[in-house]
Amino acid sequence: MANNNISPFAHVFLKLMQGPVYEEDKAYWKDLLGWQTELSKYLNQVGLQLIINESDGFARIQQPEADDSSGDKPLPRLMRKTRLTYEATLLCIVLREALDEFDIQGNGTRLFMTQKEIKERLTLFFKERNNKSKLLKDLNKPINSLLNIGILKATREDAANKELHQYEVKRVIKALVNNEKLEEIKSKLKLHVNPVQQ
Amino acid sequence: MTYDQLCNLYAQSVTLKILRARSAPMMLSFFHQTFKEKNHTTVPNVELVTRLSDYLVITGYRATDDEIDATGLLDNEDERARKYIEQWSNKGFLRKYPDDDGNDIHELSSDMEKVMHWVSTLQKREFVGTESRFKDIFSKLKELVDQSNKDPKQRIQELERKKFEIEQEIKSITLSGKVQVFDDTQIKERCYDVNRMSRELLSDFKEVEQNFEQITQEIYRKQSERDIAKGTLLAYTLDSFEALRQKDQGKSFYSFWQFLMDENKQEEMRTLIEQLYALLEDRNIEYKNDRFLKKLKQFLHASGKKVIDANKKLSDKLSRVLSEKNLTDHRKAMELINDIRQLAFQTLDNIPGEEFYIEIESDPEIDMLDRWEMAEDKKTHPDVEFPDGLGGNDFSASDLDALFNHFNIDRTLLEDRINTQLQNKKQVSLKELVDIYGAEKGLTELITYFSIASQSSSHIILETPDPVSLGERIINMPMVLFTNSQN
Repeated sequence: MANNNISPFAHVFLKLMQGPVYEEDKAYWKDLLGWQTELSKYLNQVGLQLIINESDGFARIQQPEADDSSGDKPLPRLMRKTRLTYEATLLCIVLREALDEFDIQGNGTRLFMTQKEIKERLTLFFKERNNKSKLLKDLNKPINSLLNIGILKATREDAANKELHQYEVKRVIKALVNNEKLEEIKSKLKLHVNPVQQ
Repeated sequence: MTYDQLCNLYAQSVTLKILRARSAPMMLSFFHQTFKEKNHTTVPNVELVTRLSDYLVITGYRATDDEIDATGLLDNEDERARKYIEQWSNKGFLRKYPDDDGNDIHELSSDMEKVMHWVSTLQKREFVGTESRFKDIFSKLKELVDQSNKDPKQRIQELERKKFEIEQEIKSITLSGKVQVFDDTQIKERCYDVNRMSRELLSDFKEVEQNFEQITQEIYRKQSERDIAKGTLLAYTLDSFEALRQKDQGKSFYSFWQFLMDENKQEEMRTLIEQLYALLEDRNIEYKNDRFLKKLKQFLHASGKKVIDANKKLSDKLSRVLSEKNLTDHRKAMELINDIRQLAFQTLDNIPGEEFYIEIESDPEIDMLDRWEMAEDKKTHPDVEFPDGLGGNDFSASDLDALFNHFNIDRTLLEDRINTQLQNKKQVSLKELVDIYGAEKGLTELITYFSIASQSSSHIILETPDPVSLGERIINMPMVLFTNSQN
């Protein structure tokens, strides 16, 4: 039975629960902008925030860290937290940089990279090992973990030549790896390089 | 054209490089066949490779040029075709970029357009029409002088003179009963000219698009200069946006676009072109069945829309990069990334292990227990079985009728309605159709209209809601437009 009490923004809400909504999802994007106040209010009631980045063309739900001082019972986590390894973290850095470079060049609006291009940028950060093909194979791992959290999205498969697999670098990377996150990565890495000084 | 200048030009100009390439005859003929004869503006990479591969086989072309490496001689045609296209794209003979779905597509670069146009002028023409072109120049001169004269007196004088001339002509026709018309040669010559100019117009679009892109890139370049003051950048940007519209090229392009989008003008142009073809048939003038002009509007629209779309994308992206918050954020991010890069290089010998990790908040985690499906337990759909005693197994025709009669929509009737409406109009929406004819079969009828629209490329389904009233109910549905495929 259809329930007539369903909110007119329900479809956008559900879509947001599945992950970021992009400008390319034209139907959802328009409704999202139209209902943003109502959506925000609705989400706020359960301790979630709606983040809309209009200039980069994406929107997502965020769950602020529980505030210990308030004395209220902390809310359970809804938003999944994913641990990124060192390799995956570096890949984030490399992709974030590539997206910024791409924006400055000004060809088109969506950045596509092949597996080969991604790996070429990433191998710089690892010592040339004798077994280069093992290194290249190892680099599949960070690519896969970014595919899982939606920073990369596979757009073309090339069965004959895996190196030509193509991915889109999603703009949500700007929110997931924002400047705050970059600071965190930097200080963590600093501590690793130079543990004595701290 | 000094010696130095020309040396420079020969070293730099892509146009000249195309002409000097040893594969030029093969390349040009291939492009002519693939893009020009079919009037394609863009061709997907996959398709272009296949076509070239076929072309190499058919023409028996041997790779004697040094454009693809010598080891490639052993490759098969597919491989060679791929290499050629890659080379041509790298050298700027072809353009290659991903479309919105990330698939590579190609179009001819503006240099290539220039070469192809120039080469085509080298071919010996059937005849060289000088009369029509002289008259063209003459009338343009007149137009230039007349339309730029601000003096009302002179203008009136000029108009009076024209009036007198027209009156004279009317008089002589009424007296003699004869009209002076073009002879076959004159028609042929003019037809040729119109055709040539239209084709030139189409290839010029590419240059317009590239020039627009250049302006945008200049802004990006300026923006990435570290210390440029924000005010300067903003001023420059606003100027450039204005420049996109106000420069001669922009102005001319946008007023052309307005003209093309004007429904009356479209109608007028369509009638003119139809009359022209009728005239050619009538006089038995051979035009080699060239339907180019007939489809001109369509081609112009497609190419023009590309320019408009590209422009919109560029300005969207500009505003993205230029917003104040982004600008400071961007610089900060670049600094941080650089620092991280330095640190990462320092630790090449001692790469962090498991203990180094970063947490990222991504999608919500929703796992509904009742949604769990055990992979092994997946059932195939069971055959449909009717419980005993329910309806029985005797399906008589009347039973089926009762079931399906609701869906008995006369599709041809609906199509006829659409066509009737399109006889006097360019387009008709589903809403209008329902207003005129009603929808006695209810939803099913609407759905049939939908399916008609979705099965023909000349009909459009838009995302804009366009509620349709069905009896006392309002059905919220996307806008469906049926358009005349003749245009």
